Amino acid sequence: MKNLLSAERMARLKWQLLDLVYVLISIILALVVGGIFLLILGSNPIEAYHIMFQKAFVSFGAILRRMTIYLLSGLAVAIPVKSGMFNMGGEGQIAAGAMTAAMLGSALALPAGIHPVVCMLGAILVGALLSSISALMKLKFGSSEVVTGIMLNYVVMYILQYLSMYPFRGSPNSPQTAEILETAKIPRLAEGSQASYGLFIALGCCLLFAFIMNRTRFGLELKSAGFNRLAASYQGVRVGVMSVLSMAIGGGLAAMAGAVEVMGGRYLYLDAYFTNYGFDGIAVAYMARNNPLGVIVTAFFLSTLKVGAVALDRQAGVSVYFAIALQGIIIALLVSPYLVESVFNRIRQKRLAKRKEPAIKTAST
Amino acid sequence: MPETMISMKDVTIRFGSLTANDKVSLEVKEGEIMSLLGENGAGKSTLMKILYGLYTRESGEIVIDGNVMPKRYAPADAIKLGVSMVPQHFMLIDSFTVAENIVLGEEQQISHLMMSKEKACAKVDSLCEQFGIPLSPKQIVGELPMGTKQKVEILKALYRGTKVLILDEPTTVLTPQEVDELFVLLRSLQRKGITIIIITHKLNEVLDISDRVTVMRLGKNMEVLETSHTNAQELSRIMVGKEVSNVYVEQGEDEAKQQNAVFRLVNLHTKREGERCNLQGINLDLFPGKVVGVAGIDGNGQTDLVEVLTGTKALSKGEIRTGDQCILANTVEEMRTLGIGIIPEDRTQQGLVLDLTVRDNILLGYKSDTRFEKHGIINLQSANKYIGDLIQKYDIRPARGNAVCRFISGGNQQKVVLARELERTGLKAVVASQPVRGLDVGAIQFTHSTLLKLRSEGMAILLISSDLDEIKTMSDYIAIIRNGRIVAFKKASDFSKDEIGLYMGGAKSEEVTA
Repeated sequence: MKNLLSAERMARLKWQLLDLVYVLISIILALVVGGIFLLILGSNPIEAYHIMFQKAFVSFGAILRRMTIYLLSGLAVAIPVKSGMFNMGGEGQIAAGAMTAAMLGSALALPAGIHPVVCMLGAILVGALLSSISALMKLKFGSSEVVTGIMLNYVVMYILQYLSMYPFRGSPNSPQTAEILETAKIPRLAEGSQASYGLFIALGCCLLFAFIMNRTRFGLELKSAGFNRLAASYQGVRVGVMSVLSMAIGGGLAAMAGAVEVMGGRYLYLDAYFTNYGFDGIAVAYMARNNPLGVIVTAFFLSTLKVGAVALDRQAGVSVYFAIALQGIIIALLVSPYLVESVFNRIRQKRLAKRKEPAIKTAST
Repeated sequence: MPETMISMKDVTIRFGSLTANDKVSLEVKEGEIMSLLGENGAGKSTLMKILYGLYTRESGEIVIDGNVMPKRYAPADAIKLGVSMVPQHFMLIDSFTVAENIVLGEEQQISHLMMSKEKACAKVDSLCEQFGIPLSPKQIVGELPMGTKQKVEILKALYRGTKVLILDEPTTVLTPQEVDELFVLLRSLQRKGITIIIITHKLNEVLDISDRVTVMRLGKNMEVLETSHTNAQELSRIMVGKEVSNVYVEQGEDEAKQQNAVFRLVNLHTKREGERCNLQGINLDLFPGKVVGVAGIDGNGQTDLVEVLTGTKALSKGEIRTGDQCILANTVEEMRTLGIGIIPEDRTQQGLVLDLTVRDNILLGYKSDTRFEKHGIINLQSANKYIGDLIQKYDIRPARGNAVCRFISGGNQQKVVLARELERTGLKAVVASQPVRGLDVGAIQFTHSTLLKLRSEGMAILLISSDLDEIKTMSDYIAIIRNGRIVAFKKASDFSKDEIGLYMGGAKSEEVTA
C-alpha cells in the first residue's frame, strides 16, 4: 500500500513537472519570436536579452518587490477561476486596498506590531466587498462578472482619484496621500533593498492556498463548483455561496497586493501608480494554469521581464513596450489551446509510431 | 440476386490508441433491411459514420452503389449517392414546421430564389402520400411526439432522394406502440426499394425487423447471419462473447412487507421551469426489499422526481414521509441524513465532476464525515484507505484513487457513483435513474446485480428507466409516470408490456392516490 501511494505521488509529480516543462518551452519559444521582432527592429537580440536579464538581476530587489505584488494579484485571479469565476476587477481592488492601507496607516495611531495587521485587514475587507459586488450581481441578476468587474474598476479608480486629490491629499504637488506612519511600515529585507518582508506574506499566501485547494473540504467544494455546478449541487455543495466566497477571497488577495506595496514599498497612495498590476495578475495566473504554487514561478518570471525591460529601454534603446509585447507573445503561446503540449504529444506519437510499425497514421478527431 | 448496395471491406479506424473498427466488413444488398448489432462501444456507430463520410478511415475499401469511394469524402458526397442517416438525437429545428424542416438546406428543389411555403407543403404532402407516412406539413415540430419527429427525419431523408437509410438506435426514444409503427413504416419503405441499415443493441428488434444481421464486438465484426436462421440466444452469445443470464426478480413473495413503506411520497408538486415537465402530484410508496420501477417516456417528470429526492429541487407542495418524520423542505443534506442514495441519470453531468479524481468525487459526497475530515481539513490517510477499499469492492479500473474521472470508461464512472452512493452509513433507499444507460453489457450486469443485492438486504429501491425491458426484469412493482403524475401502479406481474405502453403514451390512464 505504501509503495502504491508513493508510486501515485511520483506519477502526479511527473505530470506537474511536465506542466512546468510546457511552460518553460512556451517561454523559450516566446523569447525566440521576440528575438525575431528585435531583429526586425534593428537590434541584436542576444545582446538585448543579455542586457535585459543582466540589468534585471542587478536590481534583484526591484524584481522581488514587483514579484510580491504579482504573487498576490496572480492568486487573486487563480482562486476565483477554480470556482468558475473570473476576477476582472483586480485593478480596482488593488488600488482600493492600497488606498485603505494608506489611509489607515497614516490616520491611526497603533503599536508597530499591530498597525500593519490592522491596515492589511482593512484592505482585505474593502477588496473582498468590492469583488463580492460582481459575484452577487452575477448570482442575483446573471450579469457577467467580467463586465461588472471591468466597470467597477473605473468606478473605483475615479473615486480614489477624487480621494487622493481632495480630502486625503498629503502633498501640494501631486495627487497623493500623506506618508504612512513608521508603525505601519513593513520592514525592508535589507538596508536599502527595494523588497520588504511582504514577500514572505505573499509566498505564505501561495502555500496556504495550495494547501486549501488540495487538502481541505472547502477547496474540494470550490473546485467541484467550478468544474461542474450541477454535479456539485447534487452533492450538496452550495454553488452560489462558493462562487461569492471565491470572489471575495480573490478581492481580498488583490487588495493585499496593494496594501503590501503601500506598507512595504511606496509608503503612500499615489494616483495612477497602481495601474496594470491587476491585469498582469491575470497573465501570472494564466501562465501558472491557476496553480497557486505555479504562481510563484510565473510571478518571478514576469517581474524579471518587466524590470529587465525598463533597463533595456535605458541601455539598448528598445522600448518598454517590447516587454509588454513579449509578455503578450508568451501568453498567446501558453493559452492557444495547449499549443506546445499538442506539438509535444505529436512528436512523441510519431516517435512511437515509427518504433512500432512503419507509418500508421493516427486519426485525429 | 439483388445488387450489392453498400460494400465496406476491411475498414479500419483508430482514435489514439483505441482501434474503433478493426478490419470491419459490411455488405448490404439493395432493398434489404440489415441490422448492425453490438454492445455500446462495439464500433457500430463509428462504422456508419465512416460510411456517411463523417470520419475518415485509415484503410479499407468502400463502394456505395457501384461507386468506389475515395479515402476522404464528405457527408455531402454520401448524400449525393443516396445515403442518409437518421441520428439518434434528432437534428430538427423545433420552432419550424414539418415542411420547413424537411426542405431546409435543399430549398432549390422547390424554388431557386424565394422559399414558397405553399410549394414546400405541397411537396411534403405528395411525399407523405407516396410513402404512406401520415404527417401534416404545417405542424410545428416542437409540438410533435418523439415517434412523429422520427418520421420527419425519415421523410427528410426521402426528400433528398435517399436509397440507403441508416437509423442509429431508432427505438430508444419510442413507446412500444411507436416502435411497432416505425417497423411497419420501415417495411413499406423496403417494398419501395429502399435499403435500410439499423444500428441497435436490442436483440428482439433485430429478430423482428431485419433480413440479415451483422454482429460486431469490440471493433471487429463477428458474424453475418440470416435473421430467419438464428435466435436471441445465439445472437447474444455472439454479441457478448458469453451466455448472458438474465437477472430476473422473483416476484410475488412475502406480500406482508408492503404494508410498512419506508418512504411515502405524498402529493409531490414542483414549480415548472422552462420546458421541463414538473411534478403535478406524485404519490408513491417505497418498500424495504422491493424495487419500484417507474416507467415513462423521457421528459414526463422523471428528472424533477430525482431532483426532489436528491434535494436540489424544492417541493412547492406535498411531503415526504418516513417513520414519524415529515419533510416539507427538502435539502440535499436533509435527504442525505434520511438515508437516500442517488444514482442520477446523467453520470457525466449530475453524477460526477469529471475533472476531479475518483477520490475527490467520492469524498465530495461525504460532507462533514468525521472519518475523513477534521475542521475541514481532509485526512488523506484514512480517505485513501477507505477509497482503496471501495475501489477494490467495486472493481473500479484503473485501481487508482487519483485517476481523473474524465479518463476512465463509462462503466467505471458508474461504479464510482455506485461506490459513493451505496456505501453511505444509514442507507435506507436508493433512487436509480437510468442506471445502465450507455453502459456495456458487463457494466449493466454489475449495476443490476448490485441493485438486486441491495434489494435482498432490505433496501428500498426506486428504479426510474425509459427502458421497458429493464423495468420489467428488475421491478417488483411498476409505476407509470406521465405529465408529472403517476398514472398507474401495480405489481409488475400484473402488467403486460402493451398495457405499460398504453399508459406511457397516455392512451390509458387511472389516477393513483397514495
